[in-house]
Amino acid sequence: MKRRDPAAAALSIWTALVLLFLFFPLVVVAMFSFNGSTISRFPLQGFTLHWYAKLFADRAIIEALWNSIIVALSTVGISTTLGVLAAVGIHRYGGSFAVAMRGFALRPMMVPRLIIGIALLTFYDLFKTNLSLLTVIGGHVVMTLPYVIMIISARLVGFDKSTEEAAWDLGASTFTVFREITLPFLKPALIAATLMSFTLSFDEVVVTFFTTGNANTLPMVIWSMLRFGITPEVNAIATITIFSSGLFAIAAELSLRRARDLS
Amino acid sequence: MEKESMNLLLPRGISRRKVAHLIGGAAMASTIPAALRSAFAQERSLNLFTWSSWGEQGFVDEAHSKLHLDIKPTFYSSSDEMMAKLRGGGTRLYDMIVPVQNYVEPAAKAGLIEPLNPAVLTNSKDIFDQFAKSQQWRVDGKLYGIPFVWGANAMAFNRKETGELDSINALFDPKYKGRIAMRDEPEDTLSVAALKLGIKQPFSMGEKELQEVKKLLISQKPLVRTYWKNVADVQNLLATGEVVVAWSFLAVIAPLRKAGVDVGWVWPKEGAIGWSEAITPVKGTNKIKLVEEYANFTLSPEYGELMARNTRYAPSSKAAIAKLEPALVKDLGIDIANVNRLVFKDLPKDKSRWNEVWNEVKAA
Repeated sequence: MKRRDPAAAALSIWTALVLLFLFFPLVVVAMFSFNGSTISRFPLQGFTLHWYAKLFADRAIIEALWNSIIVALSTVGISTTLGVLAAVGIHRYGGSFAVAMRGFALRPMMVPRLIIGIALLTFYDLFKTNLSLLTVIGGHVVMTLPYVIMIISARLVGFDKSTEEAAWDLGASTFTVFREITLPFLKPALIAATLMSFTLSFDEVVVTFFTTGNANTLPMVIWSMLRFGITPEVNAIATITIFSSGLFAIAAELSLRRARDLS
Repeated sequence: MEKESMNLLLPRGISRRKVAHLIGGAAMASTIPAALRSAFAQERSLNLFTWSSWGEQGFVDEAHSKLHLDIKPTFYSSSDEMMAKLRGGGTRLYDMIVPVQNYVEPAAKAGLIEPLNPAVLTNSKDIFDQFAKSQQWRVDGKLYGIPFVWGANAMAFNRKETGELDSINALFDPKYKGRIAMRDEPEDTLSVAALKLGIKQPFSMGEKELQEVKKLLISQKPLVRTYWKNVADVQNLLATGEVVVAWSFLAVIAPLRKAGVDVGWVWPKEGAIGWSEAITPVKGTNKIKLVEEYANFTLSPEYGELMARNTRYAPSSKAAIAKLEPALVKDLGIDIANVNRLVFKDLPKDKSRWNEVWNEVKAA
């Protein structure tokens, strides 16, 4: 019989505790979303789907949900396109110029969202732009682009340039090389970047608040509902959001892992 | 290859065309009203920048059916957020806002809001004088709004544990050690301490009085279970019985009673902290007439009644209150006979000093 390593046992207990600390509050929220009472306390007062029914009957929330989805999908489209092109371009330059460019491109990640939001509002105002979902998408692209560049750049580190050169040798055009060699190589990272930027955009409140005109997104509605306390409806939205972003995050992690295994 | 990776980006069952359609639709929907806005200035629609409560579907439908007016609400969740967005150029976006009385003067001084014509607000004849004549809604003699809703932050207590209470002293009573909750916010909590010390005008306290307030709050600290930030926290603490006396919002009472907790609500005889909110035009709106029409509508008995029933907030209209059952009036915490007990939140003379004092209390 194998002797158990006490260090390994301690580590697994520690890991379990950390995970419990991180996820238990989310489990509680999900439990209360099915709770019969309006008050979030134990013992639970019986199982109900009432809060979910109420949620889906609320036109304002459904509209906000659509707005959020539209913004998130558009942000993903623009961010990943720009991000891939930027990362590939930077990688091709190489040397200290690439290091400087990458540092510059990642900068918005360090800036607090509040500052990005107010700066964008002032910027849009300077050009008398009519704020709408389009300006929100603009804000979200600024916010998510660095993450895309970072993820794609990490993947490009293991890229074997000779495959591109071989394709050129065989007469492929630049565009064909990109489509047949570079893009397939980037696929796992591209999926990860897509899911990452979707999640970031879907959850964002501050940047959205400052760049929106007359449209509300789902997180904005939830945030403003919180002024007078957490109602079970908020628990229900939170549960749906946690569940779907959880799925996205897991999918992103799996494709990142595949990227690592392949390289 | 390209096709495959494209499809991976989308959930199953949604075609690319559908998504393109949705995105295109959104782009259209969001740009067209903006274009129309300048072309047809007299179109009957108003952009309302508000707390989510006043943008609820019930109010939007009511304005549509009674006034043939389209209200398009956008939500904020704190007064400071509202100010920041208006300052950053938001004044071009919205026709009206719903400020709390202590933000009227700063907003007017910063050129973010516009006065109303009092003569148009014909429903103001039904409004309690405390609100219709409030100086906090007037800056340099100009009227910036007549509140349609009001309320008070006051004391909630667990009747089974404490019996009936009517004095703010309960919040400082060692009998309830570890079972008292105060709000983590300087303007509320420093005022509560000032009221306990008998200071009648908490918002114009000088340094000497602030020091006394600080001393009192520090001596209260060992009794306090928690300084709540989110009203849901204090609601849960009252529900579980961990807290038996709390400085709170009225909003906690109805759900607690519904859940079978016997909670009392009182404006202590020493005083409570009042608030009021009104429709105020945003600087530069080209629909001031329409805003005034809507502001007048919010003062009507019908709006007041609808609001009381839907949101459980108190209308400022006597005529609206007359339409409600006495039990509901009591439930809404309306105690107009004692409205003189309310101290309406105002801008402290030195707001940063108040923040400092509050931080010193918490750090002590």
